Amino acid sequence: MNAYLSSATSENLSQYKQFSTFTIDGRLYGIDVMKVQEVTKPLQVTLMRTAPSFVKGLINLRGQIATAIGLRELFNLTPDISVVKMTVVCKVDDVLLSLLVDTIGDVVEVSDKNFEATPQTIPANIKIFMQGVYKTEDSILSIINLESILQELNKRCA
Amino acid sequence: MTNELDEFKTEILEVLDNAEKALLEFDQLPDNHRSPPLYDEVFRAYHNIKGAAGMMEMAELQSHVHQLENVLTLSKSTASIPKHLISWFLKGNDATRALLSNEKYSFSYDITPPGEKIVIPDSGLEESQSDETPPAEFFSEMNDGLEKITSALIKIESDASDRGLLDLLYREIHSIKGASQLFGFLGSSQLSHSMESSLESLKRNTSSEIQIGHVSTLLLAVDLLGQCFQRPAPPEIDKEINFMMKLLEPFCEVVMSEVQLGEHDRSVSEGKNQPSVASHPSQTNQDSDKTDTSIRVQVSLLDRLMTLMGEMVLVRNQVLQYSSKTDDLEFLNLSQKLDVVTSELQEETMKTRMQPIGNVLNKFQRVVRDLSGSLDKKINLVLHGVETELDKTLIEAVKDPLTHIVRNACDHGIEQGIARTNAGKSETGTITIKAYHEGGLVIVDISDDGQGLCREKLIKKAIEKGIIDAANADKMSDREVNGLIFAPGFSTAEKVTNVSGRGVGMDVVKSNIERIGGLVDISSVPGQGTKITLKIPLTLAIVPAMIIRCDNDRFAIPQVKLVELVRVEKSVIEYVQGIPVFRLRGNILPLLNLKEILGIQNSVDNDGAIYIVVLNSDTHNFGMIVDEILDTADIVVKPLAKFLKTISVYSGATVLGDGNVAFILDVLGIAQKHLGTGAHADLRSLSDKYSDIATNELEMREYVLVNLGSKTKHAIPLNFVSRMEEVKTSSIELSGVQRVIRYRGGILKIVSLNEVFGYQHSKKDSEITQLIVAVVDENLYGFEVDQIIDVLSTRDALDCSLFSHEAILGNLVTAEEIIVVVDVEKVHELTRPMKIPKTSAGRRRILLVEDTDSIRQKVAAELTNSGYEVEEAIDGVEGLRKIAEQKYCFDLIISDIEMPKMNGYEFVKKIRGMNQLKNIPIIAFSTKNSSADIQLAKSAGFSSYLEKSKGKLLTLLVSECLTKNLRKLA
Repeated sequence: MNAYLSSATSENLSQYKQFSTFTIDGRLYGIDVMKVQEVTKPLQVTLMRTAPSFVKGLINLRGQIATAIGLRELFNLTPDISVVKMTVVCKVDDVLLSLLVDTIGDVVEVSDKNFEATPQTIPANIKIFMQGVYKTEDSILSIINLESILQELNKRCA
Repeated sequence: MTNELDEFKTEILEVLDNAEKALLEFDQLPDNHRSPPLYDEVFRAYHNIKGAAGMMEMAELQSHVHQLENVLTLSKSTASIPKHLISWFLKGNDATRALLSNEKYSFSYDITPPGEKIVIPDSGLEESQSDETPPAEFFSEMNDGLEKITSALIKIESDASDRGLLDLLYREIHSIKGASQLFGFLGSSQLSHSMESSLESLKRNTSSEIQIGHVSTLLLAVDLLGQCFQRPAPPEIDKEINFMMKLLEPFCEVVMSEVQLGEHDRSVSEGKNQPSVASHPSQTNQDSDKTDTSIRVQVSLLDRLMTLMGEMVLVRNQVLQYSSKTDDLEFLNLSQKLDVVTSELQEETMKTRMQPIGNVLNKFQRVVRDLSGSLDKKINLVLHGVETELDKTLIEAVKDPLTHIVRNACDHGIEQGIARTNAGKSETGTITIKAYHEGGLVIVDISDDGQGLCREKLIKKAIEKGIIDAANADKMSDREVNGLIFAPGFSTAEKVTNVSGRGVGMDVVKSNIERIGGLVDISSVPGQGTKITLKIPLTLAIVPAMIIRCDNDRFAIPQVKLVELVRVEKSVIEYVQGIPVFRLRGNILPLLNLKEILGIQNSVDNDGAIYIVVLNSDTHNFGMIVDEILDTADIVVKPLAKFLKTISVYSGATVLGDGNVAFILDVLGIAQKHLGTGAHADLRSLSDKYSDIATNELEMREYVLVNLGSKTKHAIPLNFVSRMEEVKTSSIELSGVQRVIRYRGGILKIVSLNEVFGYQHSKKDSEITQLIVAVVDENLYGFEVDQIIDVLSTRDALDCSLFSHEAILGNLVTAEEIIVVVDVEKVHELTRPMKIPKTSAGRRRILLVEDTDSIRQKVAAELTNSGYEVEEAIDGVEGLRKIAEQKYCFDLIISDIEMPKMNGYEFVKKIRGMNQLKNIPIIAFSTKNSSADIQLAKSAGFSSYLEKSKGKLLTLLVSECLTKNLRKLA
C-alpha cells in the first residue's frame, strides 16, 4: 500500500527543475536558475589585493557591489588566464556573488527522476561544492550548491 | 507605547529563536559535550530577555526567564547542557512565547530528570490567570476609550468652557468603570470611579471650569489605567492606584467647596485657585498647530529615500566628472547647479532620519527610577544634550548598550546609601548622561559618582576567570585593567542579582558599539565614580573621503582618519633600522608604503616628489606613501561581503564617479597589522585617549622656537600664538612711549622680548622686524623677536626646576640643547598698561558715562580689574550730577555719544566749560566710526575717540591718556 502510494506520487508529480549551466575547465556545471540573478559578459573587476586568490575583486553591478569569485581558483584547478571570464551573478544569504566561469551554457530543464547523489569518487575539492548530479541525454550535469560555496568562503577567509 | 511593545516582542522572539537553535545544536552533540560558544549563546539570550522584560515592566516574564537562567548557570562550569534539560529549556522557551502573547501556558519549573520524577502536579507555578479571561476586544476597547479621554482632556485644557467635551469625558470614564467591574479589574474600576466623582460636581455646576492641576492629575490617572489593562499587570499597581485616588480626592472637594461657596463669592475663590486653564489659550493653540506640521512616514520609505539619495550622489559625481572634460558652458553651469541642489538635498534627506537621542535617553529616567526602587538606593539621573541628533538606525543600535550601561551603573556603580554617607558623599547617587557632537561624532558620556572600579578586585576576578595570568597582572596599567570589564564573561558583582552581575553585557556593549563604527571607553577614579564614553558616528551611509591613487587603483580614505597631506622630496625620507620614517616638524613619523601593504611590486623608483597621507589611528599618527592624491568626495559606503571582513586592509567599498569600484582603506586595521599594535596595545591606546587622569606626560605640546639676544633658543607655547608676522621696522610707530603697529585696522602693541628679559638687542637696525602675534587674556601683543626658527612639537615634560627670570616657565631639555620656555602670561602681566600710570597716591578715578547697562558693567569691571576706581553714570545728566557731587575728583572721563536725556556732545561741552575739568582727558566711546563723527567729537571737546568694536583697547588708551596728561601737567 505504502509502496504503491509513493511510486504513484513520483510518477505523477515528478518535478522539473531548471538550471543555468556553465563550464569550467571543459566540465559542465549547473546552478538553480531561481538563484541566478543574471549572467553577464565580462565586467571590469577592481582587484582586491591581499585577498586569497579566489577573491578576484569587486564588480559594480549598476550601483550594487558584487564580489567576484574565481571558481577555478576556488575549486583548486589550474588558473587559466587565456579565457576572458564570464560572470554568473547570484545572491546567497544577502551576499551578492559574481562567479567567474569559462563559458556560459543554456538553461536546461531536468526531471527529479534523473537526480543522483554525488558519486563517491569525485575529488574532495569539488565534491564539497556539489549537491549532486543530473543525468541528461548527452551529459551529466554537476549541480553547485551556493550555500556551500559561501560556507567555504567564510571558512577559507577566516 | 504599542509600537514599542511590538518592537520588543519581535526582538524577544528573535533572541528566543537563537537560543532555540543553540539548544537544538546541543541536542545533536553527545550528552554532556562541552561547547562554550553554544552555551554562551543560550545564556546571553536569556539574560537579554530578562533585561528587556525588566525594562518593559513585564515582571512575570522577567521572573520566568530568571528561573531559566538560574538553572542554566548550574551547568556553567561544564559549559554543556544535559540532554534531559534541553527539552525542559525548550518548553521554557514555549512558555516564554506564550507569556509574550498573553496566552495561557503551563510549565513546570521542576528540573528532575523525567525518569526519577516523582509525580508532581504542575506545582502551582502555573500561570494563575483568572477563570474568566477577558476577550481581546475588551482590551482594545479600553485602550480606545483611554485614547479618547486623553485627547478630550488635552482639548479641554485649551477650552475649559466646552461642556460637550466634559460630557464626553464623563461618559468615557463611566463606561470604563462599568467594563472594568464586569471583567473583575478591581483596581481600574475603583480608579475610574474616583476620576468620575472628581468630575461629578464640575458637571453639575455649569459655570465652573476645570483647573490645570485637575487635568494633569486626570492624565496621570489615565496612564495608570492603561497599565491596569496590560497583561500581566505591573507589580504594585494597587499601591499606585490608591495613591492616585488620594491625589484625585482634593479635586472632588475643591469643586464641592466651590459649589458650596455659591455664586456670590465666586470671584474671590477663583482668584485664590490655581489659574484657570482658559487663561492660556494662545499657548495651547500653538501646540496644536505644531502637531499639524509633522506627518508620520514609514521608516522603510526613508530607507529607500536614503539609498536613492546615495545613488543620486553617485550620478551627480559622474556628471561633475564629465563636465570637467567638456567646454560646453551651458552644461557646466547646469552641472554646477545640480551639484548645489544635490548637496542640499542630501543634507536634508539625512536630516529626515535624524532623531534626538533624547528619545532613548528619556526612557532611562523610568529605568533608573524603577531600579533605584528595587535596589533600595537613591539614584538621580541627570540628562544633558537630549536634543543631540543622530541617525535613527544608530539610535536603535545604541539603545541596548546604553540600557546595559545604565543598569550596570545603578547596580555596581552607585553604592548603598549608608556606604555613600560613610564615604562622605551625598546619600543620593547621581548618574549623568551627556550627549554632544564633537568632530563629526556623537559622544555619549555615562558617568556615575559611585565607588569606581577597584583595580585589585578586577585583577583578582580576571585571574579567576582565566582572562589574564597573574604574571601579567602587575604590569598592566590602570587603563588596561579597566578595559578588562569588556572581556566576555566578566563580572565583579559578588552577588548575582536580577539586575546584573552575570558577566554578560559589557562585552556585548563593546561589540555592538564597535559594529556601528563607534568606540567605547571606560575611565574610573576609585571612590569617585566611573565614566563610560561612547563615540558614535553621526551616520553610516555617506562619508566624506579623500581619493588617492596607488599603482593603477584608486582608494578612498575617510576624512575623519586623515590628519594632513604632505608632499616631499624623496631624499628627505630617512631610515631607522631599514624602516622609512619622515621628520614632520621635528617629530619622527613612521611611514608605510601603501604599495607594500597591498603587495604591489614597487617597480618605478622615481626620485621625484612623493605624497604622504598622514593618518590617525587611535592615539598615534603615521604616514602612508601613496602615488597620487586625487580628490575629495562624498562617498556612499557599501559594506563588503562578510567573508572579506577578515582582510583588515579594507573597511568597505564605494562606487566612484566614473562607475568604477574603489576600496575604502581601513586605517585602524592597517595600523594594527603593520605598526605592530596588537590587541593589547590597542586596549591601552583606546583608554588612553579619553582618560583625563595623568595625561600630562603624554600630551603633545607645540612651541614656536625663536632666537633672542641670548645663546639659548626660546620657545613660545603655540596655543598663545595667533600669527607670525614680518613687518618693516619703519612702519613701527609710537603711541605715547609704547611702540605700536597698525594691524588689521587696529593698533598692535609691540613688546620686545629682549627688553622683557633684559637681553642685548642684537639686530636693532635691520629693516624687517619679526613679530609673533599672540593673544593673551584677550589682549593682542606683538612680541618682537630676533628670529623665528621653527615649530617644535614634543611630548617632553617641562623642567620647571630652574629659571632665571620670572617670565620664564621652565626648560625643555632635548637631546641636543636646552630650550627656554617663555611664560607669555607673565610677560603680559609685566607689561600691563596699568603699571605705568600708578604715580600719584591712591587710585586713578574714572567717570564712565554709558546708557547700555551691559556695556557699562563690562567696561567698569575691566577698568576696576586694571586698578582704577570707576564711577558709573547712565547719561550725561547723571554724569554731571556725579561730577558735582564728588567735587570734580576725576582723572579721566569715558563717555558714550548716543545717550538719552543728554548726549555725549552736550555732556562734554558742559564739562569743558568747567574750570576744574578744562584739561581732563575725555574719551569718546562710541559705535560711530566715520571720520566725520570723530571730527565732530573732537570739536565738541573729546580728547580721544575709540570705537566700541575695539573695546579691548580701552584700558590701553586710558593708561595712555593718563600718562600723557601727567606729562602735560608736569
